[in-house]
Amino acid sequence: MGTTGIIIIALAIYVAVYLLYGRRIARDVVKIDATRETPAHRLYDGVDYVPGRWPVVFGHHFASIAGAAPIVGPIVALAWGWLPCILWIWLGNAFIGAIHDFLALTSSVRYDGKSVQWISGEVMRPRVSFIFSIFVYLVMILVVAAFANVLLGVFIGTPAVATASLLFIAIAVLIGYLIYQKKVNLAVMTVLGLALVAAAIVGSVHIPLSLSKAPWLIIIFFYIIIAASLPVTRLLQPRDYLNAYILWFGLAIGGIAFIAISAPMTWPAVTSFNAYVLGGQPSPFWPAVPLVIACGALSGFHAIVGSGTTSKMLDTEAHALRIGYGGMLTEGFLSTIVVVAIGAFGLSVAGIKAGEVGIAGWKGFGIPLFSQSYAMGLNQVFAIPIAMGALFATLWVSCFVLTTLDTTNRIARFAWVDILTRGVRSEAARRSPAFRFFTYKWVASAIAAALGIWLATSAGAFSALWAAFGAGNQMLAALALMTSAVWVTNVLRTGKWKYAVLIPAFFLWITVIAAGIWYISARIGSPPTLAIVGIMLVLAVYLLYEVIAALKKGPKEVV
Amino acid sequence: MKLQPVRQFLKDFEGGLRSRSTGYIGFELREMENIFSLLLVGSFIGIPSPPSDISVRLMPYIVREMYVMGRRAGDMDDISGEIYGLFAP
Repeated sequence: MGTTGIIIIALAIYVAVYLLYGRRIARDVVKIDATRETPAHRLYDGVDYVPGRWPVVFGHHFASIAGAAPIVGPIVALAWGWLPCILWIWLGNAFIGAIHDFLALTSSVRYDGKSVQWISGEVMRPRVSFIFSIFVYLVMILVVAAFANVLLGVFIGTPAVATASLLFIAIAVLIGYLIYQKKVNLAVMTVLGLALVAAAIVGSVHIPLSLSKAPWLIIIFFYIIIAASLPVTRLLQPRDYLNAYILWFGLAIGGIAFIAISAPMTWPAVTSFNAYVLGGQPSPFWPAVPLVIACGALSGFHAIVGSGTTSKMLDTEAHALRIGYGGMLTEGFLSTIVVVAIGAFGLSVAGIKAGEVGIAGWKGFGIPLFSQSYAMGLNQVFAIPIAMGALFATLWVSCFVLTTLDTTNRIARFAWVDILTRGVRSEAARRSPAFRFFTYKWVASAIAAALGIWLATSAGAFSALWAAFGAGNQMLAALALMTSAVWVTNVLRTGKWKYAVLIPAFFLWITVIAAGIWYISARIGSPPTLAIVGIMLVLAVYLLYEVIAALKKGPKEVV
Repeated sequence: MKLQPVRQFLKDFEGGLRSRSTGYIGFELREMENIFSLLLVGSFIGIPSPPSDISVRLMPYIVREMYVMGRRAGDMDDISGEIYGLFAP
């Protein structure tokens, strides 16, 4: 089968699932009512609650959920073969991930735009909301570790990207300065910024920045702390602004290229159920797959975005399906393109035979496997030089990784303060110098960065750390989906259609718990990584107790 | 003519992609507005400046800010959720 065939099948499945299943969920589970006022209208204030046209809200939502993870996950998972990967992406999207995102969005709409964390405390007990913060903090530490590791691999493996990424940061700071301090016209700055980025990509080929692991780790450590503590206008905002254009451009030309080329899939369709995927050890496809293909199929972060931000912009409930459910399918399509690109060109990029994939001694390939494959697709259709295309694709990933590190550290800092504030009840203790020291923004940032970088250095194989991040992300998704399941069962009281949520919620919970137990028992990660996964497992088991207690307690009033 | 809806969709979608970054600015602006409002009407809750009569005279101009501030005070139990949503990786 060729790339065009797979992409057409993917599009057909997504359209069918959206029309036949998504709409049914919207109608029979959530009982979407286009005439019901959304918080954006009911609580309109021109600041937080503002209705937007659906493509704007969709673009905002998609930019918030799409990052490097839907690209990195499939790269690692392809050791099982492209067919099981793509099936997990499609089925995971349709029956778990998209429902998870859609319900997080709609439940938030029904609760005046509150976050899924708040709703979990409302439909279960307030302590679940506290557990949510602990989960978020632990996952953020793992994100810092995993993405610092990704960045390390990219910078050491492709020194020109290190140069391009540093230039990109400098360009973002310059653009931010000119826009906000010198009040230069935004359109002029956008054109200038993109021209400078293009020049940086071309120029970086000639000035690669080669450093070893230790100096890069030190640089990344200080970068995380400084970037996460700077006002957003200095770096985060202008860089995210330029990132949006890179994402848009990359998706558009990549989508066109891989529909047009129709190259045969040379990567093996299936290798082995126990392929050597994680930490150089035989890894069972089930339950380990969600630890690897996290965001491409389903992601706990999406519930956080959908419920905290997107829900306040929704013009009508009728748009929730295309934004929540459709947004997840679009991200799945991005992962599909990654699988297809590597499926078509991966073997020639890696210089291996099909029989060598996923066997004993398999260490996997990093970002270059995707960027080179992607570049070969662009080369065949647009005649873009492979070196330039690969550099662009790697910069695309590294830009998202850098933004992820920055925002993750900010969240970790807030979560840290939230946990300490909720944990320390006494006012006198909160006024103590120790409390103030540990909640000071630079200290809180440094703690998260230090823990993350320490994990990154001690985790061993990259895939082992990536799987720990995946475990945290998927447990967060299980927590959000369980919250939605309780909401659907106890608040909406949707009858037998509640099983459309309860079954995926429990399936995800069982899968993630089984995967976590396997991860620990097989000693895939380093001791600190295993400890974090262990803590999250305990919290996930406690969560089940809370869910069952809430379900037994029975219905609440309809919201 | 028939391409107009497609163009509008692409324009809106592209605007939406950028709106995540402008959302950061919005968040900081809102925080500054909160501080500004608090400074203006602070005399009512014990912050000594400015004097109450100035606050009362300013009040017609800050109706929206006071409304938003009041609602946000009610949402304080979900502030971490909002921040996670804004910066989610």
